[in-house]
Amino acid sequence: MLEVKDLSVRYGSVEALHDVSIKVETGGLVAILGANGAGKSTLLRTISGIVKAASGNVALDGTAITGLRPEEIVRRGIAHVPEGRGILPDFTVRENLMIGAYVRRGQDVSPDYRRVMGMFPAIERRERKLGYTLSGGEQQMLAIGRALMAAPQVLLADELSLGLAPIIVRQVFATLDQVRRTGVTVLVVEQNARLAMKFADYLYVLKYGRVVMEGPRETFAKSTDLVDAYLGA
Amino acid sequence: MTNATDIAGLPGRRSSHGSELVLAGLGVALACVAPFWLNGYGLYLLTLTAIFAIVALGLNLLTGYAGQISLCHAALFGVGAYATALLTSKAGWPYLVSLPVGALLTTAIGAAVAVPALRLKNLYLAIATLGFGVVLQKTIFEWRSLTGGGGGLSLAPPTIAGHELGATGLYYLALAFLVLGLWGAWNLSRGRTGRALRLIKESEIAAASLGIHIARYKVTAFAVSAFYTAIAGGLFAYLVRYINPESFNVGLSIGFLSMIVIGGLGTIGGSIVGALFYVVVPELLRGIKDAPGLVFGVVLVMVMVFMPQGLWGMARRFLGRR
Repeated sequence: MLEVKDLSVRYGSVEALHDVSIKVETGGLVAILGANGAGKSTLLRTISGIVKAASGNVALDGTAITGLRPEEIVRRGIAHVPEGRGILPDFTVRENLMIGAYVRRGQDVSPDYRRVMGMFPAIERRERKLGYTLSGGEQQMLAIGRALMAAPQVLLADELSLGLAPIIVRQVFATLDQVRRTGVTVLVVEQNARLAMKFADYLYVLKYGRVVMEGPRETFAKSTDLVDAYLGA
Repeated sequence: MTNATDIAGLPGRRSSHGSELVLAGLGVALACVAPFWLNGYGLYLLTLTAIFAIVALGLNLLTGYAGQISLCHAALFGVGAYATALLTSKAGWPYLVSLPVGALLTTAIGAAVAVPALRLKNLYLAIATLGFGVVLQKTIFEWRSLTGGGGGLSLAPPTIAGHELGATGLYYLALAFLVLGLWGAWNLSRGRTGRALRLIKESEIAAASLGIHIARYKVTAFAVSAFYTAIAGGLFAYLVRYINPESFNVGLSIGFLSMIVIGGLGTIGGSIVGALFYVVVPELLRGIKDAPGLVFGVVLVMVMVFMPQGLWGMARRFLGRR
């Protein structure tokens, strides 16, 4: 279980997150909704250690991981699909995937490689193609696959729908659902509320760095107007 | 660089290594016999090309792969030149010892440059390294008791094991270092390190999110790049046999950057081709009365407009590689 407790983050004098607490049960798929600038990416980056917390803590299965270096957090089992994907355009699909296993030096990663390839047939067909030849949706799948190469227990995904056509976004989310069914806990950050409500079993809404609403999917489905009001601001 | 679980060595790389090795072998063979065909000036130009190519290899690792711009490489080149020259002429060390020792000293300075680099990007980094270069250059200038200041340093021909190293000998020495440098850059760029550097250039957030230690790689890239540049500086000092702080100004730093951009950022072949272009093309244009600089400038613009990926990138595409 991933647990974030009373987390606050500051960028200089600006408070990006204020006493944020969230919980992601093992095997769950949780979504964080919020408009631009609500602090969603900051939350993910703080969990993965890229951004330092001002106060509060993050725990994985009861062990505090707050303040650890990003590489240590990846080693402990939290992988992050960053916003904007960060695919290397002039490296092959295979090489891009292999970067995901960066922290697993000295381990046999070939079973994971085959497993990831098996999950993404579209990527597997393009194993030797260069990154830039992939479509946006394929690049997003590749970014997810790359994170899975770290063999994580928890996958953090930042704004997967960015710049993708709705039908492709649906495919990408279906993939996440598939990832979750392999036993990986998933935490996604998303602006597209309707889509997130379809796949997530628990959701939070962030606004100006605070959690303003939370609940299981059913509750959210009944209060779409309220969600829209929060996101529309 | 690679290990048993890394599958970088398996097929899937964008081009076959075989043909590149053949090309490299041919290039080295040609470079080995070239002195038999060239006069003194031609040999000087070819030695200069080899020296600049070593700088370009190092700078390309830093700028082309890791995406960190530097405008202080001329100064590092100068520090390498002075360190090697002083260790050889004043301390009386053998040339082949003072060259790597001088380069290691410069490497420490290069690693120090990386400290501001950890916080700065793009133009801000360019300006900070520009300032650093000026500081190094002025230090050489003002430290008269050691460096001779603005009067420069005249150097006796270097000796190796009691034998004086002539122009041809120096050329082969530069060529040997170039081949070593090629081998090093090739290994560094292909494996885990090369991919980590490229991802830092592409997206620092993506690199950090995968557990790549950004600070460590930036410092390493600056240090390795400084080592290459300083070795080249130590060779350069004994090619021209007179060094002066004025030679290592920002104009030369921009020259180094233009070599890797013309040749092809993030490519090894591009470092060689870029250095060759930078040295040879102005020579070819010398016949044009009054305007060689002007024509060279126009050629630069044309290369960038028509071959944004550089000469090497263009050649690769032309040869049908992806």
